[in-house]
Amino acid sequence: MSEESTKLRDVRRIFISFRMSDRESIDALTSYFKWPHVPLDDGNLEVEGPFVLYRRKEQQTGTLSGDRMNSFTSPSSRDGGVDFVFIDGFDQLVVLAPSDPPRFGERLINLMLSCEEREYLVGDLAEEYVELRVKFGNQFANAWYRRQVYSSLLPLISKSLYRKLSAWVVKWFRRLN
Amino acid sequence: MNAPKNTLGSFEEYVMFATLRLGEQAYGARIRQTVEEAIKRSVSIGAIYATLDRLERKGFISSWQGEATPERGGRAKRYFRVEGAGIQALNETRTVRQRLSEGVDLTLDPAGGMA
Repeated sequence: MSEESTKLRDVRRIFISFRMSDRESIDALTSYFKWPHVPLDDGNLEVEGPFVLYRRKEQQTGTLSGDRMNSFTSPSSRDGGVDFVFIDGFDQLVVLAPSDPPRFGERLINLMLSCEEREYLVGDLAEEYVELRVKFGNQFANAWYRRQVYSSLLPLISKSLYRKLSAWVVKWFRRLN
Repeated sequence: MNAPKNTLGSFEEYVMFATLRLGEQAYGARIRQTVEEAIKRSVSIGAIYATLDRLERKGFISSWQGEATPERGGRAKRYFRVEGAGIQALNETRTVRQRLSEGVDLTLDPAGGMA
């Protein structure tokens, strides 16, 4: 794979479910990418993962078909912080590793939110983090994530304090009555 | 004097308009991006959620849980929709702005001060 062809030029993220029969490939894919996968009755596995299609200089991206995806090489290449898997005979397909934002930021956010709020907010951050990682690489995405976490602290702390304070005021008034 | 009860702050207004613009695709990350692109300034997801939370308490918007996707690490989305009371609040805010700006000349003189 030449360096030219591994440069991300026109990125489009898609999600595909596909069937695989090669045990070794399945193990490598699912353990490396930690993708959700469903075993099928016929011994195959249905895997769902985030794929990134990108365009080479003068070549359009093609359509993916199940047959062409049955064999692939192990994840090895890296370009701009994005992990790739090259499917044999289909070198335009790039597979994006799962989002792995800075853990400290995620923990900090978790401290200030209820379980329900945590799910939405951290999910939103993870989604944008993946997009930025594809477009600009790890370093940019990590810096963006940290900035988001730090600038979210004040509004989230205020929100949490406001809630606690209003609950306390209501309680206090009830006691008076 | 009958003062409008439901006027919105600037940021609340931005968030409401972004939610309206996005329609069925209005959830935290997209709302944040839409507001950020419009005001050309960095906006934190925390500020968006704090505002959405406040607007929901006032009854201007409603929310529901959406699907979880792998790109979000299996976490669900929370979608938002502007309710009738929210539209009314946007209209009232616009009316107040118009009333206040009526007859005010905002042309700048070449030196940058008031004309």
